[in-house]
Amino acid sequence: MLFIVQTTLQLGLIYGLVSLALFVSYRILNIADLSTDGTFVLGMCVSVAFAYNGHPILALFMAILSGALSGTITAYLQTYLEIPSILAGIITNTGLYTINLMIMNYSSNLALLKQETVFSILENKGINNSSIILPALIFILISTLLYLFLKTRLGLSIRATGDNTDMVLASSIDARKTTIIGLAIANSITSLSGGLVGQFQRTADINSGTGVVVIGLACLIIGESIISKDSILKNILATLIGSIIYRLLYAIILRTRIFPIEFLKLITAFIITIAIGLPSIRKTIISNTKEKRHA
Amino acid sequence: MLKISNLNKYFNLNTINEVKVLDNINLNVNKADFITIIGSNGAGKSTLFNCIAGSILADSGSIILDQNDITYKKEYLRSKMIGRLFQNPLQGSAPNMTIEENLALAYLRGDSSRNSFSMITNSDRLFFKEKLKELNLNLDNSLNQKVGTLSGGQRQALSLLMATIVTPKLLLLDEHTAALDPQTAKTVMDLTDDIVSKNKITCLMITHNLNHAIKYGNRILMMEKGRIVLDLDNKENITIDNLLDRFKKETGKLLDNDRILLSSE
Repeated sequence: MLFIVQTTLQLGLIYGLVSLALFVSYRILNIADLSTDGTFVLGMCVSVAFAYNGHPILALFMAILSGALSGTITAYLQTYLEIPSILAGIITNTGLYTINLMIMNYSSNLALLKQETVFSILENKGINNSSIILPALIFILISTLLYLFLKTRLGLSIRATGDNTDMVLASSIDARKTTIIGLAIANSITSLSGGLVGQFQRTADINSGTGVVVIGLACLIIGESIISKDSILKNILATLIGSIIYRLLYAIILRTRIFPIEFLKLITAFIITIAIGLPSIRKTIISNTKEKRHA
Repeated sequence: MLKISNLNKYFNLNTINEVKVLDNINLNVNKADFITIIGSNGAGKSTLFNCIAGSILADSGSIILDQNDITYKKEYLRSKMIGRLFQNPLQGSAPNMTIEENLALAYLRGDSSRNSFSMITNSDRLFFKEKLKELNLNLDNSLNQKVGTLSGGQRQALSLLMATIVTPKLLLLDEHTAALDPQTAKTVMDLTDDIVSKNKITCLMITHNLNHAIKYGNRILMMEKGRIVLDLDNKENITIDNLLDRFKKETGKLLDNDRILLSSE
């Protein structure tokens, strides 16, 4: 039981950052950012590479920076080169595969053996449960900054860009700039998450990003179906709660082996399909029953 | 205030479908003018607005607003000086943001003393409330209501407030009451007139409502086939009938806007 709670909180908090990032790109900017998988691995590779060379704290900042850069590129592709947003994400994602290999010196994984990580530094200082406390602190910090930022003039402009493109095009807001800043922020949060996962697992792997975007979206939607999404604060809370619920299910399945753990990605795909498709399924059912009753 | 000289715009230039949508437009707008523009469908009215606002770029000619040549300036930079309202009431505000946030977006743009990271202050809120009270739509106590829950008329009134909360050098109204029911249209039109005259805003308004054109404009322009065919000083007693007559005399045909006949309020 303790194991389940522990794993749930650890992973829920760390991966909760991805949901938070997707809240920025998918909900606020209305862009399905498919570069998320690649950016997550980018953050992981950068973070582990820096930790490997003895800079575990700097590693996290560099992970954030790398994500911001990657987000800027994706945004540049869709704003200045007018590539459709989904394709722009895929292009960046594809390119990142090579970049990530390059960072790990063309090996498909990189492991930390005796090097320090941010978690081991805290453990050495006598702080137990650093793998829960640190991600919790980071999540609180990032979500508070994000919450405040979204209330500033620039934050409002970014929200308007995703909310009503027609309005923004005819306004004094430079939609290219707001899209770039928004995606840079979203991707830097994603890569921070990757960076933390890398140091937590003490390894970076080129394939560890598969499905990150779908899982993140599933968490976001699970959270939103529990908490109403009528204010930014609730939206942010929803990303965390959704992520924790998802990881709880994950941990229970892992522990009890109701079905093989290999099925998890398929089940995730089902969860997200049902969650996003539920409103139209409901509508069809309602109109069908009405039709029958009428006849 | 606004000086348009020899403005030309083609659609599909150098193709078989080439159309001249603006044909050598020359227009001098004085400060605090309220100019109404009428004309048939496809006369180039909206295209003229798009060229002034920067949504499309003219092919030749120049547009000078308050001594700034804005002919090829980027749209979002012009928007600092130009307020704009469209026919679609949903186009002017962000539905998932609150009334307060929408107003803040419009308001903060004009205040260069504040940077990108400034937030809405309490004095801003009081100011917004006061402004909303002037609209008489009972919105002054719903600053935190999402704009998507408002009616079309309320949203258009809010868009109007957003376009004028920082007094623009030029206000472009593109049939902004056409999608509203007659009663709401009247309310929004009265508000418009009120705000425009109170702040002495220079204003161009496209309308299909000849009554509005006569009632509100101090100058009436008629457009046909990309040209301004008539520029009337609205001092004499102009009636709808003699407007239609003069249009016929200038162009040799009837004013055939599909909505004009229906609007007789």
